[in-house]
Amino acid sequence: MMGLEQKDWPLMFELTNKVLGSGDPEYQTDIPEAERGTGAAARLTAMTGFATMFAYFRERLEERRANPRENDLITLLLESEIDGEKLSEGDLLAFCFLLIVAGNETTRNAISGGLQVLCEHPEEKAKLLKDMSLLDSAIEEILRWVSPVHHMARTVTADVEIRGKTLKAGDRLIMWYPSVNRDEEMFVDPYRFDITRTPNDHLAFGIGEHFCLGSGFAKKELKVMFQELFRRFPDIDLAGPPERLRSNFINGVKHLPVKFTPER
Amino acid sequence: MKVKVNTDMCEGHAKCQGAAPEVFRVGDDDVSVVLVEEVSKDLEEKVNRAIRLCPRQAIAWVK
Repeated sequence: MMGLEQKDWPLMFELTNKVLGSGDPEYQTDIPEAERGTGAAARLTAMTGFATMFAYFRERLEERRANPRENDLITLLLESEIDGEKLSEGDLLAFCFLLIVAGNETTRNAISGGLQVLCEHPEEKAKLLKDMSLLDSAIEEILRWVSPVHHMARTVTADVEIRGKTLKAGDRLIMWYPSVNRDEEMFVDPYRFDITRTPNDHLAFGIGEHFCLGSGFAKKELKVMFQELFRRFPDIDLAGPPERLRSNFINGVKHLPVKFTPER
Repeated sequence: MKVKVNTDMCEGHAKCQGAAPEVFRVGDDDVSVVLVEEVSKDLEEKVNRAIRLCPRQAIAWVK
């Protein structure tokens, strides 16, 4: 969609890990080994990731300015106007950055987290493999269960009372998605993984003004991935414990060892 | 009661259609249309759910 060359994809992966996984020592590769795992190491890792990605996209913007492309998201952003004004360089860079980071980390962790939870619930996995028409509903349950984004923050704009708690204008709030998606008042037996759960009114994509821009696309990616994965490797299963990302923002799986019979 | 979709906000996620198919339909242009002039009493609960589920919070009762 963004027209980035395939040779750059590993770099995007690496930089996304640095920015969103900055607190995990595995991604603090620019820090001497003895100093990894600290707050300072996390800040430096995130800053390096930001700076490198912004520099990368500054070059891409230059390329597209010189040679606009058809059906290209970056060209479209460059040519877009809001109230007769073009986007500033800072807005353009931030937009490209957001599309890359938010567009890959979340979906790929829903895929790895989804495969993990399906393998940990063999009866649910068997149900799905027997009837792949349950995949749409299974994806909703995976999104509820995994909640790939742990939290977002909001600032209260006016005094308000919610369930006996008074919030004052200016207060900062954290919304914990794994918690809201296990709300006993909203979900029957919330700690049960059920690929046929109905209703399943989870908020894994948030709600309101900042509802996930890519929710439809993300669900499509999950669907294609699981369709292909289970078609080609129906016996795929865990081969060891997953290694989780150290982060309070992304519910990530860094490494998920699996075993399967290769296609003939 | 009447219900209204703010078409400037609607992004066509079709949660409303899922919650109350008798009242909302999302067309090929990805915008939700209200199908009924008046929402009958028995559908109010479904419409309330649609209002709650709308990702952009684009649906509201007309007062």
